[in-house]
Amino acid sequence: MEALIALAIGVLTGCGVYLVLRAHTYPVVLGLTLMSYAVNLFLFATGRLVIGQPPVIGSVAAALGQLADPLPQALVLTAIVIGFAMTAFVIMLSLRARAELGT
Amino acid sequence: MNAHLAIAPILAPFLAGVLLLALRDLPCRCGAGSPCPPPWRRWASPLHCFSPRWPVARSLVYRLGDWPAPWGIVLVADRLAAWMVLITTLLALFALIHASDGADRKGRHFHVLFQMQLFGLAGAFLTGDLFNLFVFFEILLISSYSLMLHGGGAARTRAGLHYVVLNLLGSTVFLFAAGLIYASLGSLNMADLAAKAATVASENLGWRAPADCCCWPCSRSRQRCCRCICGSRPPTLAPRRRWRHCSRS
Repeated sequence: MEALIALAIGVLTGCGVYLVLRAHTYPVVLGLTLMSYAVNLFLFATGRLVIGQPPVIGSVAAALGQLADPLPQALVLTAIVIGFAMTAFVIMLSLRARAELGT
Repeated sequence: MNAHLAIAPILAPFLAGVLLLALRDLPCRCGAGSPCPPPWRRWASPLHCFSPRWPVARSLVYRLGDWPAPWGIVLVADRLAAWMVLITTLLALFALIHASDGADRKGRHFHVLFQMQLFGLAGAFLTGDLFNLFVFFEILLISSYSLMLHGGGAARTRAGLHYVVLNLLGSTVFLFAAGLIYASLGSLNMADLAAKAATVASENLGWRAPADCCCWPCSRSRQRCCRCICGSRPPTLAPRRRWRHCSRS
């Protein structure tokens, strides 16, 4: 599972960087979106990959040292919200740039 | 009251911005070209200029939600943060006085965005948490995007698009870095990070020079290096403090 997650992060980041380096606005926006997906996945993986364990400190599983880290999930939630707002903003800005500059 | 002073420079611009947004239909009836901005707008900014009254001998730590420090988010108003907030506020005051001379009328919501940018700046200076720094950075960045595009125009839009895209890339790299720090140290509190940075696991330190191998900066002047044996390739990932054992005498 670690290899799969790492591969997904790598592919998303690679595609995002490739698209950001295009000279047109729309691929740049798509690339930024892909990179934000990659960073969300990466943040999610920073709490170590654990399956089927509760993210609750004080539970039986936590006493055994097998709990899912709850903090990266909160971080990912915040990052998703912020990334969504930023994507909306950059889409509106690129639409305005298309109307004003014609690119 | 003194215990809540650390959050005052963050709350005051935020509340001022919300208030300006709610009261935007109530300004005095100035003519569009007359240089008489409403005085309550002009002086909305120095409301949060509490910084000179802060105790400078010790730092003020404010726990948001009263969670204990390594888990909850803290605001730390040490001397550097207080000075930065004070400088920002003074700069913002003069910028606001300058902008009140008609530049704020070229678009809508200038003062709301200005206060929101001050909100983000004060938060970024005062926070003691790495991810909270990112959040406040995004707040000040999205205000700065809107302030940069304030007034419109083709040149402004073109420059603004580049600015926004570069800043979004920077935010992504910042998030990657914050994730890496959390993954290797298990904390996001800045003071906790400073304490834990010495105990980072050795496999997370990147490239490590073997004990008898020469360090890279000395390999260019090999005869001057004390223990230079091998001509190894430049270890680009080597931490700087690994180079210290090589004296230049």
